[in-house]
Amino acid sequence: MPDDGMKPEGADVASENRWDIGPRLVLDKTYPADFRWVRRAIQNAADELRDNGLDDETLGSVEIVLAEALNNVAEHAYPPDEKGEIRLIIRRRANALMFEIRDKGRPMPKGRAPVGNHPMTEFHQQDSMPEGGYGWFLIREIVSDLVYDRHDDENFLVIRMAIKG
Amino acid sequence: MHMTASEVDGAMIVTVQDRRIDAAVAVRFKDKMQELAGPTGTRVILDLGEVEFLDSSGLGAVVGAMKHLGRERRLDLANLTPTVEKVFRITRMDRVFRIFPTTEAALEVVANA
Repeated sequence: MPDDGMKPEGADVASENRWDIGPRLVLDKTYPADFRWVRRAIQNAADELRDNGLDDETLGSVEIVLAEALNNVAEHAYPPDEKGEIRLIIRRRANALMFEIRDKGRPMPKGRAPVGNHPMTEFHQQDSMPEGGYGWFLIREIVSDLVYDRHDDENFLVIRMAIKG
Repeated sequence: MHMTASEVDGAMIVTVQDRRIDAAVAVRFKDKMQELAGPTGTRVILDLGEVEFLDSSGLGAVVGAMKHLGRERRLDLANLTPTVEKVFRITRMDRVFRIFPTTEAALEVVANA
């Protein structure tokens, strides 16, 4: 399938899906920002993408990326006493998935998404091994592109993940 | 968090019966591991065959459980499903833990070899 954004001559609106010209909306839902609802969000996303024909290995990677990105919002974006929300939008192109994760909580530290270095150094002995900090590393290892932005008090994390076409 | 423990050939085999070890249950998993492993004893083999998904919180809890056992008691892993195996591989924690295809294979290897 062509995925270069080029439209064949004379193509009308109805034929766009057939040519897979633009990204196709797979999911757009808003969830309460807590760990239990993040599970639900991941389940919804996996169900939709399975129906879209994604294989189990790709679905596993999707689950990992979404769990880390969404749990990060659930854990850090809102003060503990505030019930915030997370909006998850998934679009699919022939050879990539685009995740857009939005929340109205605090901005990311220093206005940037974490670099995601591996938390472990060669100096760590068993008893001092880090129990956290693997989340952003996992995201960065799996995804192709990641952009963080903030507009009008809303955080936008846009992730592109290459998939087999 | 549904987990059971049984002692086999001088090792404590802890089996997780839930499908996910994620941020929602990571703390309970760690507490349950401590409870089932007990204060003293032998090597622990964690059977993750029923666990379809583990995130970084779950991974951190497994590391925490290993640290809690101390240097005298080893924590080995067995029976990893594909996505769980992927998390251990990407984070290179497959070099920190010994990972066996089955609990039987884990039992064939002596604790501190």
